[in-house]
Amino acid sequence: MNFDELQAVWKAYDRKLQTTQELNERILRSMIAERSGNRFSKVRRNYILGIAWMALWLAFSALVMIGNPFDYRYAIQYVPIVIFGTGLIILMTELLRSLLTFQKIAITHYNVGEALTRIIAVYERPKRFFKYTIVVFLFSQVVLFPLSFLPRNIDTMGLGPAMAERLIPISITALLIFLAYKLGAFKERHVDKFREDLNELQTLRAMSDELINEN
Amino acid sequence: MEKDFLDMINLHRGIIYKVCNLYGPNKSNREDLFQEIVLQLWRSFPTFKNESLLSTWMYRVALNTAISQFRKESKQPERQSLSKAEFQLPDISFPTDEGENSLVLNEAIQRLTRIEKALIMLYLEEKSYREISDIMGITESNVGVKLYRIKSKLEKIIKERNYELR
Repeated sequence: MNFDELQAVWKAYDRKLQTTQELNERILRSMIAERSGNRFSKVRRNYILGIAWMALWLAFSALVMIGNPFDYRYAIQYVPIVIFGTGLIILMTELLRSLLTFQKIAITHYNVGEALTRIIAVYERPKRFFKYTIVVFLFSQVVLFPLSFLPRNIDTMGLGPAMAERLIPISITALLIFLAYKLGAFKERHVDKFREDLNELQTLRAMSDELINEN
Repeated sequence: MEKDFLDMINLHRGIIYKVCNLYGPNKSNREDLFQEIVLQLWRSFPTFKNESLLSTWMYRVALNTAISQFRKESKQPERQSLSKAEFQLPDISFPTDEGENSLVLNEAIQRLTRIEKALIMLYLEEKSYREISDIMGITESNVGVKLYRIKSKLEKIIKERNYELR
């Protein structure tokens, strides 16, 4: 066998492929539906994992409040863990609410446009309160939680060194969070993808209308 | 413009099928790859300028998708099969009426790396070194060197399987 023979097989292959079924607008539409459906499944799975993860941390904060493993002496030292638990409950409620809405949406190639519009609406729901909760939540964990150990550290190290020992990790964590924010770690990327799908679909619809009008 | 897209896809659908056959180890992978290539073409079609040949652009998009799809494979979410009701990928395997030669070609090509597969495909499509260089983004001299090595490799693979490449 030589390369000419290989090329002959390739040419026969080319002829075979030219006899295959042609693509049409319906196929493209169903492909967009399928891709959106896959992405949507992933989003729902992430929501479920997120809720489970938060439930775990909520249980942890309850244990801290009950068992006092950090030997807190003053009621004020519990403030960060209370904010932490409350923040988790609010975030979990919001995620659960979105998840329940998502569960009612099914993407099929017949309703993909409507389904995508509903998904985007869930993402675009006013979330000012949700955002404030996240800010307070982060503040309590980055600043208040390390400071809750301050009374014990002051006893053993004195005020100055104890403050320095607490402020250094706080500054580093705050800086890392700021950098992550600037680098786009907190951006919601899924909604942009769903918008792209919807745009593609609308273009397809325009094409479909154009074809109908021509016929 | 939108109507042109389907005409273009249908005119050159062989390119997509060939890439799917070369890069998809099984039917399910080939279907996923086919879908991904068509969607990538659909997405980049508005930015296509007639500076290059339509087929050159299609080869570029299809091969880039196939090569990068491999890198992303582990990150792929589980796929649903909504489009299967709409579209069944036709039989895109090498023609069986070419007998043993088809088997040899298939087995030999499957043992090449992803880049080598792309180059040998373009070679078998009788593309010039310049076109291959345009599609693959490498220099013409590099195309020559790589093709020489690939042909030697193919020859070795075929010999290993007791076939003689004259």
